[in-house]
Amino acid sequence: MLVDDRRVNACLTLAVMHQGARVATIEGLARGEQLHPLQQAFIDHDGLQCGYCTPGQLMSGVACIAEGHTGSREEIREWMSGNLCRCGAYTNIVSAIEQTAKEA
Amino acid sequence: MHPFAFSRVSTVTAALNAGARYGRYIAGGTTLVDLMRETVERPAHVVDINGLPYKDITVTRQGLHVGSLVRMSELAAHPEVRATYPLLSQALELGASAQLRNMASIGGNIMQRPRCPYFRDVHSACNRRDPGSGCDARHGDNRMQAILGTSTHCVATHPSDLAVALVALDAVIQVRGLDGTRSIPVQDFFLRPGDTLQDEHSLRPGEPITSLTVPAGAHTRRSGYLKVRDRQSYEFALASAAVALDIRGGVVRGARVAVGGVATVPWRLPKVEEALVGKRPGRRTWTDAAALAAEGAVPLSENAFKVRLVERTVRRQLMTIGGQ
Repeated sequence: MLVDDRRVNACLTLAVMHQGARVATIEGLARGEQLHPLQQAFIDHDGLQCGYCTPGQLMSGVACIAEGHTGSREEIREWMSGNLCRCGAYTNIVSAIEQTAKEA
Repeated sequence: MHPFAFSRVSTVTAALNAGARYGRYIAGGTTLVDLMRETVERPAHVVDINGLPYKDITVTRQGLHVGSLVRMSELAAHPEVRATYPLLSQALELGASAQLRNMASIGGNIMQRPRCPYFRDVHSACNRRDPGSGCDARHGDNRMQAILGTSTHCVATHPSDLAVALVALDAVIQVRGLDGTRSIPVQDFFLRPGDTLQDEHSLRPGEPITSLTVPAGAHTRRSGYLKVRDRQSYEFALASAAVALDIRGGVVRGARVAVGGVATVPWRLPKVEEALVGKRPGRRTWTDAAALAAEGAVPLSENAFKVRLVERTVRRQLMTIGGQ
């Protein structure tokens, strides 16, 4: 998730420590029925299988693009490492982020 | 997770008073919350110190001054740190993940607890977690464990990459106590596993780290960090090397070398440094010096490979930093 626009691990975050902070989770990514471009790219590139890791991949991917760590597929892989996908959709996740970064 | 009380402090005095009474500060929380979830850590009261004013990075001609609450990602990305202390930026960015680096503080990074699987499993014997219970790692799954600085009580490696870089660069840790401030050279900060395993560092109870300083020098610009691991990213080191060299007039004038992933504390290599100073840069010099990297190693049943690995890691990083 994003806390004040920085990506952090929700599982290691105590909510009480972020009173008043701007918190963005996957639920806030789409505008109503309008998907975020990265959500659409995940569909276009088949960037998920079981979907378990997808909320984390998306939030981390949004931050990765905002940080500008998308200069190459290699750079995307390094800056997305830590977001694990047991189904192995990594190649397609990188493609989705690469495309979204180019269009942003 | 066990229930705990939580409070927040915004002044140093309030922090010191709370620390004297409860003792557990939280900044980024990436170690503490993790271990609380595993019930390895069971603090009754956690004190949030993020309101304290230890958040500045200053680079002067004397050196680098970093507040303890600066985040790993902030220090790594600081333009002057990247240019003048590349070893620090590299050590930071080769550790953890982008999310963790956004959370983890510099002070907390050097306070990390062991990553040994037996330390993290409350059903295993671990002298660090439960002094006197024994060490299941010693004759267990010990491939990742240390070969240097070990004792019969504990063989866990120190997990921090940043700490290896700080030891190489002779950093000094500033702490604040009820009696005032004091400075601890980073080499004296980390304690090897002796008879009092509860002492992993030389902080006194309730003493927060306020900042650390890295002295300037001709060696800091020509420096870097090499981390060798089972996976290319998001993994702890099997062996790592922090190297900083001062080369002028075709001669090595000064050398700082420390290694990680192989020792119970960040491990400086004075004999390797002595073997470098006064020599001409080149393959022969790097190879001869690196051969001393594992001196004193005591391998366990599954980690003898680390002896050669740490020698080669140091050699390769000397080649990268010093030229071939």
